[in-house]
Amino acid sequence: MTLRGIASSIAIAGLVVACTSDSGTGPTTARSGGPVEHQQLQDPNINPNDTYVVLDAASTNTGTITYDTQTVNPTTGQSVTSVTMPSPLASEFHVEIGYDVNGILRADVTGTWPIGTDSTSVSVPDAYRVVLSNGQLTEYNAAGAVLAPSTLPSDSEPAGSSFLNQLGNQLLHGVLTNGVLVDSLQAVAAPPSPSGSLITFSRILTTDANHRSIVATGPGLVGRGWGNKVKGYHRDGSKWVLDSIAGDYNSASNGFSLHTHQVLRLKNVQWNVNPAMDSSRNAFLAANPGPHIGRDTTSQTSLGNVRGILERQQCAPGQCGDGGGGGTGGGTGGGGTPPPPGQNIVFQHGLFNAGGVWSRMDGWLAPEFSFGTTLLPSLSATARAQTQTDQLISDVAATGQTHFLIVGHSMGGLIARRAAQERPDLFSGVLTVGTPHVGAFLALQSKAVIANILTYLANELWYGCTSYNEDPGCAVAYFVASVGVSAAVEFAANALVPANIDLQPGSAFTTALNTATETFPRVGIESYSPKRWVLARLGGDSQCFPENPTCGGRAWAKYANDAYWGARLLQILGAMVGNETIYDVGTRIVDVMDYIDYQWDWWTAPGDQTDGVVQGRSQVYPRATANLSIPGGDSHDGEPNSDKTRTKIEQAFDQVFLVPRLN
Amino acid sequence: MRESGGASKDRPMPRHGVTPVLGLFLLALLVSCDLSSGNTGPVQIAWRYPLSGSEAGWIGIPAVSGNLVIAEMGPWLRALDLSTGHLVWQTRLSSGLHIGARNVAIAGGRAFVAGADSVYAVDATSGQRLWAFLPDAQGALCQITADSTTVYVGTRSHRVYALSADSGQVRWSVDIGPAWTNPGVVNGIAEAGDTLYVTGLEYLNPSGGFRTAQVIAMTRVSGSELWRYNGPDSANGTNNAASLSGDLLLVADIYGHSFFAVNRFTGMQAWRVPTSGLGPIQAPVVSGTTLFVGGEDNFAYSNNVQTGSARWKVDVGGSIDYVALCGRVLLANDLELRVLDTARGADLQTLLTGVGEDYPTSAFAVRGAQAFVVGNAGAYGLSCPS
Repeated sequence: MTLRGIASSIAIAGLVVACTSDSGTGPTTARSGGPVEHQQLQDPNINPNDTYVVLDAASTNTGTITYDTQTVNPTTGQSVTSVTMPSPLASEFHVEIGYDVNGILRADVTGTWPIGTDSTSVSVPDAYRVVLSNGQLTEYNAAGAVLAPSTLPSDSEPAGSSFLNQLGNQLLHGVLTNGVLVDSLQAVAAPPSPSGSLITFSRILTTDANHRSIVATGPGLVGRGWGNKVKGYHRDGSKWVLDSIAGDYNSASNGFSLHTHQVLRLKNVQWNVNPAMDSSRNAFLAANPGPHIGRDTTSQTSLGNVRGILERQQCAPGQCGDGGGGGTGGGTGGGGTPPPPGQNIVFQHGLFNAGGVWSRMDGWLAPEFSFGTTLLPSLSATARAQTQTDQLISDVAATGQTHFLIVGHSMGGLIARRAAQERPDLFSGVLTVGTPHVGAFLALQSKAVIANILTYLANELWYGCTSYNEDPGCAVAYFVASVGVSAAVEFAANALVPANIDLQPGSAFTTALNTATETFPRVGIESYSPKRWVLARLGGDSQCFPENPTCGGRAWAKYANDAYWGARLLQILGAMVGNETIYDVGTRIVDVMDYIDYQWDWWTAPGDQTDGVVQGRSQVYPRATANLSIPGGDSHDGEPNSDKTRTKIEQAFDQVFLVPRLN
Repeated sequence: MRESGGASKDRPMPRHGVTPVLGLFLLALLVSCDLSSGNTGPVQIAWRYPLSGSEAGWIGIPAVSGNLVIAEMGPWLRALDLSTGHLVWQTRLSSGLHIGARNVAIAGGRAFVAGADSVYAVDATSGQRLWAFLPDAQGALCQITADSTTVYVGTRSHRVYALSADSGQVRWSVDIGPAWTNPGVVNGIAEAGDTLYVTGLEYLNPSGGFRTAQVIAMTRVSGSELWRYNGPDSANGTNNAASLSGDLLLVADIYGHSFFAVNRFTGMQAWRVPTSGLGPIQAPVVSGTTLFVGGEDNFAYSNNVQTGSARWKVDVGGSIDYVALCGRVLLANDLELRVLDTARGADLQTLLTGVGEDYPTSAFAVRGAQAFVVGNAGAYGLSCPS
């Protein structure tokens, strides 16, 4: 036996152990060793006289990514060349799948979601339940409300539907007795080779009389990145019932490698079989397999080949949001008093930005508050912080006026504080938004490494895609690679960005800043975005205003969520009807999306809240007059344009800085 | 021929008829039959009054008058039917984008607001504007109060005005800081019996980086000072009016990272409770012997009114601007609408999370088990468990 053969055997043995040990002593093993769960069909639209299954499913995903160079673990400060998800990212579902009275496949999946990567998940409006009916997918949130399909430009199909089209006619007529319930394991182990299928099960391993596993291996699988795959079954009456599917996925490219291990466990299975109906369905599918629409799993394309869609995602001037402001005039006011002297104000941008980033906020606030001189300076946005501070002081001093209240976003908040510390005669107060007061973890990382790894992961998500619109996962992959990465890495280390030195945790600049005396009123606004899909959110917010329903960060976060749920249902449906290729596509998408979130969080805000760029604790203004936090906030790039930020700024203007209201 | 099987076949039934997972599933199915409600849990959104542009996003304090709720919506003062959300009347009080009032005060069938320019009185039933008064400085930073004969307004010139509710004529005015050399404001007035309780903020340096609270009791008829409570240091201060419970005046000390009680007859501090960070902006609300208050430190607090001793505190995730008791639950606004159990602070529900653009911005107005709040895209009637 060759070394490769030995390794393969060991891997198979490990997978077999995973499958059989997870199933315990028998198919009736209950959750947490407790009493057997009694499963009853609850969905009234599933025909109880036809074939159906009711079960609980648990999906876990572990993995390791290895880099071609070192990256910094922000928790330990150590340089490492690989990152491993420390514990399985687990998701649990209750699944009911069968047929409606017309014999059309219907699935009803309810879950607790997400678990693992998102400490703020309670406020994430994720799909909680998905229902497949007549080939269409409907998502519900945890409160039971229907989630509207995404309406991103150039995507005219309902969320997730283009994923499901890959099932061909199995989408409507898939047969459960070909997947989750089978008569013969030999038939599964030697199936006819469907077009495009990469999976062939060839070996049956017997654990005992009632428990068996079937194993798929082969150079074709390894060449495509798929490692070994094992399905575990237990006998229940005349049927073999699927207990688990465990598989490995390995990929390597340009010095990076990804290894993941996925297990889907099924338990508490209750079922009914109508052989006559299943026979009819099988006959139909044999004659009408239906077109394969969707990812071409036999081809390899990369994101670099499909540039061009990005232009459609960018908002033309005036198309993103309302631009704020816009009084209606007229009215019957009291003819009141002249306002108090206007508050001189400076809106200071952050890294890689310019004064215009605050235009919308100025447009919102100027009609509400009595402003005097208003400045939106554009400094040398990548220069050292002290250089920018000097420029700011020079700009403000040139006005000949004093008592400026300065509002700084991100690094602009650090510059604002420094300027006010040096020239209290010019500045009367500081308000920071999303500012890294004690540095940003992200600044420790190499911009090139982060960009390369995220692009690599996005390419993994792009697996089998040939166009942006092929399915929601393809769209998210493209968007993350094209826009999300560039938006996200602005704080990362780059030798061409001198400011990065000052943004690193413990920098001399921030240390001096935080030890200096500040006698002016000072407010820090902290924005905490849901961690789930925050890269997509950052990308959207870098292109459009956050609330824009088609291209803002909120829309992109929802779109990523839709893609994830579509892929998850694809995975479950693939397992249920025995379509291995579809199962693998769904599994790979959810794995990679999980890993993208995990990896980004590992770099930026492990164990902390975040706006996607600056970790929560660093956004807190030390010894501030007031720190105001926004839950469910927009991402770092969206903060200056966010209506939620506006609400908190208004509060601070009113209550801390006593900025006069405009008549 | 049919066959069936599964884990539970030939097994004893579980002790509970429906497992938690199945229960949730069943709940989801039931809810899907009525999706118009959009939410489950103890609090329901009874209605939504859409707002756009500058009409939305008020961060002030609305008020209930009979079956109406009255709130600022941009330049308009509007009255909505609390049960249905139907617009009953609207009156434009500003030629600009916003009135800019901190709150609406109701008394004697009138509604009063202190806007960015003037103080206004309108008929609470019809919305007809009755009078306007121009103070020497803005009253927009003050949570005003009124009784059937007089409306009391504070200004950013740290002056308190007593205005005739009928005409807006000045009955008296006093400066609470005639010797102050730095800026200061009156930001809240409460009343009980023959006494007004004025909360003010005094800057201790020109920019206001150092600041302190002032709580002053004065006679309702003349504004004569009865006692004055001075904040303990140079880092404390109030933003709104105090609340009352028996002999105690309850004060939110946002900058002093605390809330406290003073005896309203003596001005002596009864107790002070430190918060985990920034304190509340809104004075505690009281039910019996229990108070509830939300901190800008993200915590909701429940304490004994008489002693200040803690019952519970919970982190809701964001800075809490306002809380209110509604029916049997506590509502908290941290730019999401949190529903908390009053007994333990348990998180029962979260509504208006901003996804779909709706999130709350204002304080709550409550009548029994009905509540109202303004948000960034609409105004909402809420139905609470009674």
